[in-house]
Amino acid sequence: MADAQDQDDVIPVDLEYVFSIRIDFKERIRVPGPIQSNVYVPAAGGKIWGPRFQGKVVPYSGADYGGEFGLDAHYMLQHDDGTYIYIHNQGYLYPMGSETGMAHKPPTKPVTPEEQTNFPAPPSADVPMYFRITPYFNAPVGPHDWLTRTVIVGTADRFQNPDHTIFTYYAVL
Amino acid sequence: MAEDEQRPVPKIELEYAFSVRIFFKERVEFEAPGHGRGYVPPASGEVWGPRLQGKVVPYSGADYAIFQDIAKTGIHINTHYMLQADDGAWIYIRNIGYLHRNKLFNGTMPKGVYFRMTPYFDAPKGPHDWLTRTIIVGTAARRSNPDHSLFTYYAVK
Repeated sequence: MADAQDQDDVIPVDLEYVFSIRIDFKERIRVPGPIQSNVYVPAAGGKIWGPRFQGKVVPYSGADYGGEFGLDAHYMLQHDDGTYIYIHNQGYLYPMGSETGMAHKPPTKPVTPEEQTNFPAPPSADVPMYFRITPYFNAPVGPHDWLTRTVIVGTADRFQNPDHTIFTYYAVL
Repeated sequence: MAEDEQRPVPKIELEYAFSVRIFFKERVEFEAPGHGRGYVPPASGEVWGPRLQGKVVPYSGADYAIFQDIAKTGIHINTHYMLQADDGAWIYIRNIGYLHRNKLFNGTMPKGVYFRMTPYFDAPKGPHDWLTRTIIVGTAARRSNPDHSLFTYYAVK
């Protein structure tokens, strides 16, 4: 089916930096279920800057409900012009070289409240991580609706004191 | 937080991983109450490239695309298929993304069609399980005679 010419046919792709999001965290709740874990890490606040979007993360508008390997976060953003925008931030987060994920270890005994809350999320400077995401958005028809038809890919870094993450997003052209 | 904005913008690197060609036959669409829904199953297909070789399992799923006014806003890609690697491993692929001919956010027009996606995979433990923990982005082209699409996938390093 494939001729030689097609075998060489690799369609090129370009990336363009569009904006960054800083999200500040306070609560870190882990739900270690018998088969899989998930987390509840709400956004306490945050801001957005860069060439294509400026605004803020609406405090406590959602959370990361992610599981074994990564991120499954839903939040609301608000542009400086007042527009509300929904983000579903999905991706992977684990220590480089890990093959088992970081959030989940099957519990062997009942989990204490202390073990369930404030689980550790070390800074990238201490633990090199694979932390990449593919956000999808919904925005009202208007100047921000390009977010609803542009594939975006991101990389992120963890920080502590205070606990926050900075996401850097590139549009796939 | 002003220092956040002064920080150098972290870079992202892409590495070509594999290509997928899918041949189509049936193209079904209908109007649901809130949106249009497509059903476009893969009649056959193949996978080649440095990190995965195999085939698309015929009629193992479809693109269940979502759309409103296709000419105006394009479609939201929403595919579920099975792949089978040359070593026999079964691999599930869920592909989401966009296909449209609109102007891009930077004012330029897409070359032909804007057809980009982010696949997620499930693969058995073993040589293919990197697919379950690697962000991948794809770009694709529509081809006709016969009706098929060519997808090029890049791993985000």
